[in-house]
Amino acid sequence: MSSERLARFRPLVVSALERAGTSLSEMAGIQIEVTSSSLDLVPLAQVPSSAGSAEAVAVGIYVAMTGQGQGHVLLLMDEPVAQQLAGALLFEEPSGVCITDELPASALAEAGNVSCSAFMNLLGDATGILLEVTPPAVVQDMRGAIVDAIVADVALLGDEALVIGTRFNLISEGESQALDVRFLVIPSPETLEQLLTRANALAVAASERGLKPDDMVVSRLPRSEAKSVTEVRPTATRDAEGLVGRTSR
Amino acid sequence: MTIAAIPQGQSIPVGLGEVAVQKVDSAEPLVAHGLGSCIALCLFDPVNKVAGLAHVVLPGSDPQNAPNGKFAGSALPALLQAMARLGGASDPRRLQARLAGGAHVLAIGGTGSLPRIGDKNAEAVKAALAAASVPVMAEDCGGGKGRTVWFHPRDNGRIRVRTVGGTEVQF
Repeated sequence: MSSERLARFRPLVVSALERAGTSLSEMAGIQIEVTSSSLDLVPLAQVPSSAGSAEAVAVGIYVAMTGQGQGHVLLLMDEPVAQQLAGALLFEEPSGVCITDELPASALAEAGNVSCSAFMNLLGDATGILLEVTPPAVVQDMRGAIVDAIVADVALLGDEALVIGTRFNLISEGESQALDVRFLVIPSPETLEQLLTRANALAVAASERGLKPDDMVVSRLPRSEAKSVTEVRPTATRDAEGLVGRTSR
Repeated sequence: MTIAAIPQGQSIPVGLGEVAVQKVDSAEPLVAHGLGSCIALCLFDPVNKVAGLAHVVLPGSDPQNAPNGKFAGSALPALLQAMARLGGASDPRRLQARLAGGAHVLAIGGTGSLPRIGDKNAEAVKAALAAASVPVMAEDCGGGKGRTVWFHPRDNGRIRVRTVGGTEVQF
């Protein structure tokens, strides 16, 4: 796979991550910004280490990518970060939150649902691939063990995985605090190929129209400009808002 | 039984699909960190004091039928080959096996559930060992929690297993 194709996919992924962060901010009533993002083709043996120390205990929120695409999306965070997020959602002091209790676990699941759906919606909207997510699962275990089952599923089809990772920052009262949340997106090889093909077609179309690579994301453009970009899309089912991807809610 | 933890950096990590071997005079144990559905297949040669660990990911066999630690059906030949290089027995019946892992950590309902690869891994590894007449001395497979496994040839084939929230055991 050429690095050029990955590079053309990157602006779309960054926008989708920003959308995920914005959705999480709106849901939790706190300001969250994406501070870094990475897009790497990683040998399977190295996927767990890309999620952090394999033995370190973490909280994972998992959804499967379904619809016209297949893959896995996982939010991984240390327990204090999960407590902080659940506390913000439940208007409780983070220190008093036990994330294995039903209510905090449910709040985290919803946070995962909202952010993952937002990510998928933007990706699906731009590429014309119907991307859905399953109901989320929340688990607390070793980071390596959480990632293991996903890697095994991808390993059935290949020896490498595209790992999309990011970190969030929490802005509170003007101060920025790092929220080390790893957002891992691992599409199946077939879905990855579909996404890359369509993202590259969009990038080429945007370039031909003198637009910046970032402008290829339809939902960030005014309707009139968006139309010119959507001409290169394949036909796909669209809802009332013009979005192709849907949440599982 | 609680055992003193081995400090980080003083062990040899064995990643997904990898195979590693050690002799009894080595200072560092082999370790498979954060096993979920994967299996740590640990083989010990009690005569030549050679230990080998395969980090098995999938229940099938290598597509080219080559020795390959990634697959349950191909990990045994990969371990035998690597152990033989350190003077280990070539006859699998002279070895002892211990295994751990095969958990179902991401247990979710609905149609999006990941397949129970952990169970299939454990079954496939045990079937491969039985076919080669390798005795299984002990195992800790299944459940819903991840594990870390240490294996040192000085421990006479015994392995250490740690789970989240649980004690560390040796068997």
